[in-house]
Amino acid sequence: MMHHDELQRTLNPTCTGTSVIAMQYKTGVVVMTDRVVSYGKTARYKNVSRQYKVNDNVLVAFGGDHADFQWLQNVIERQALFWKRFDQEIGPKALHGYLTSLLYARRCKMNPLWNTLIVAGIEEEEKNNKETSTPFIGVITQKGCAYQVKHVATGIGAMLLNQAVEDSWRKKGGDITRAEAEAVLKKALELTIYHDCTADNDFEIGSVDSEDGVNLGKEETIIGDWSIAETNCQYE
Amino acid sequence: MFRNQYDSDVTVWSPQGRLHQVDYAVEAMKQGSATVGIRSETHAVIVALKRAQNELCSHQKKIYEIDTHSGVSIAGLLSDGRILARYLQTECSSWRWDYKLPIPIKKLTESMQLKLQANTQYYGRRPFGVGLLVAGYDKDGAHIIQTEPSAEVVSMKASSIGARSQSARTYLERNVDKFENASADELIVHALLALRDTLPAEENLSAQNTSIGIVGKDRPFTILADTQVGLHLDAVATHPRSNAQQGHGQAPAAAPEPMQQ
Amino acid sequence: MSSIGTGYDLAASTFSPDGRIFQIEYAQKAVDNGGTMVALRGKNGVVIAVDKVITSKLYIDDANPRMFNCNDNVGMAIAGVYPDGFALKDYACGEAIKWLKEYREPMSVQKLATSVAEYIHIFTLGISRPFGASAFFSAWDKKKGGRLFLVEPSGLNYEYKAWAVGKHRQAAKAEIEKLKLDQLDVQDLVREAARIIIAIRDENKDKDVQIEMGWVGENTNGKHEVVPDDVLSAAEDWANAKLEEDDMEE
Repeated sequence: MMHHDELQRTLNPTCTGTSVIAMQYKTGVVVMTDRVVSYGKTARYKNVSRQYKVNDNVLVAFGGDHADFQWLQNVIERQALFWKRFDQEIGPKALHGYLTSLLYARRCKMNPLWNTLIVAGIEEEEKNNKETSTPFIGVITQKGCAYQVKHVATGIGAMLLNQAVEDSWRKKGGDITRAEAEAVLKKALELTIYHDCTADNDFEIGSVDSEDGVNLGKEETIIGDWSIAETNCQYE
Repeated sequence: MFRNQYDSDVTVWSPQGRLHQVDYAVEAMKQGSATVGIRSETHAVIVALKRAQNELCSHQKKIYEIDTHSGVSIAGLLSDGRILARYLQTECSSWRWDYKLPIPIKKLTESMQLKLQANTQYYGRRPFGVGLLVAGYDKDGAHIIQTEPSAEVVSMKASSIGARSQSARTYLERNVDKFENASADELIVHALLALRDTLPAEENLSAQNTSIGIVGKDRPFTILADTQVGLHLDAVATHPRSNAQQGHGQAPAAAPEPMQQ
Repeated sequence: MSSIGTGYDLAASTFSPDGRIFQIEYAQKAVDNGGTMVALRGKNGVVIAVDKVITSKLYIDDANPRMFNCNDNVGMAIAGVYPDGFALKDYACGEAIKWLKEYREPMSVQKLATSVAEYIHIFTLGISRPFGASAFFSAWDKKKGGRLFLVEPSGLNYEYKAWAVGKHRQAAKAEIEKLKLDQLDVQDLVREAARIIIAIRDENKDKDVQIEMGWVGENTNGKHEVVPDDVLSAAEDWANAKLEEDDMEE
């Protein structure tokens, strides 16, 4: 029973996206998301992107509630316009900082945004000097907990994939090419479709590169190897 | 009582389309002791002349740290300047709350311009009787921004405002091509030479009456200690006085050797 | 217009006996005294050009720009007292962001001009002084073509095919009337704007001046931009050659 002056917030997200997997390579960042919107465990809508291009240096990908992110997308769009007021393009570090402040403020009001955000991009230390630019991946959780990483898997991917992604990264000594990074992401996605019932095998890989800028990926599909499935006693 | 009937308030235009109260506030800035700012590709330096009311009184504070990447020097009503310095500090800290990064200098000075402009338009306010030189360093490089009570805010290669600053500007204009690639120590010497030109022949710069602030690549904003100021003044003392006040003599041709900190 | 309304001209809240508000006229004077700004709408875009005085050689190269963007599509050019114009630019940008929040689409040039005009008008009612600045708003899209608005210190807001404000506006307007605007594309407009600005300069008084231009049109895909330096200097070269040629003919 709720008292008249009590207030209950939304306790569950509705239309959601699952894991985001991102990785830095020598001159940029690659980000992978699948393209399905889940309604509970139902695959409710297909062919929906979970990546948003902010400008030529920044890409934001998300997991969690689609409606919340659509609102956030407008916030980000306004933020990008705000920075243009003083002749600047917002960089990934500043956007990551801003969204951290926002998500933390919202959770302090007991009204969190139901998203995990990945801000990926190229951070310029000096304007028009690519030598000093560095790849950037920043994560923000629903509660406003934020950190920067070389590579990450979020959502259920955090439980399933972080070790796998880390191992592949270390095998290459951290100095990997774009093609190698993409191969790791695809392998990781394969693992999610085996284990995460809300993951889909239609996906996209977006990238931010110090030369090419932001590229939103094309739709791709992965099937994987299901031969082992027959040995699963619950498989019919 | 008034020089004309259109100069009693900032909210009155003269028939010629001028704002006399604003022009008078600019005069207040010109009364304050001088300050000089110069930037190179990598550093921005501000130097200022501190006055003491009398021998028992401390020298004025002319340079304020604004953030790790920015500082400001003041010419005019110092209490107005202190308010504006505090405003700039607040802008920097709230930006850090929002973005976890230092504020871009362009954004900082645009906010400043809007604040100054409001005081030239709204009834019941007066313009700030102070000019500022903001020194800053960010990803766009080093900056010197000059502000005036009229809300004219402009980015400069070098600038001087305050009493007899014309003499300093003469020095700066003659040497402006040397600043871009100068080292930090060379910039300080140039700035001090320009500042010295604002003094009458019988006075000189000293560690007590001179303030130096510097910021740049890999160098957070610092106001130099008196001993360091003394070392820079020693380097300046080797240059003969230009006597720009009398309108003859020449500015030193080359910057001296970089000196030790 | 240039008369003085003794006693009745000290506040925007005061009408003179013949029904004028002198404070607004005096604010307009501040715009009339400023550098000439020429705005042209051609067949596939809009170009705005201004003659800027370079007060000191200690200024950085592109100090005090007068061409801005309110959002990607709408350009704003400010004439008159710079800090006043800058305050208007700030207001306009704020409105554009508010619009994006409420409607989730970019604010149109007409809406922006109207909203700034309403803001300026409040300052003609008497508590504060009127703005000593005017603003041109420009945009282009495939459907509606070029749009050009001017908002004045009085709060008036009209759409124009072409117009000029500032010091040499009369001479500029005389030159504009000779143009066949609907036949000119954006490149032509840039050249003609440069020619007009240079032609009407007072050689004795207008020293240390510099042209700044903004454009929006089919060539920029509807995005407003500051005209790049190389395009601008090519246009100035063309204009100088053309003016020399005209002199020879006379």
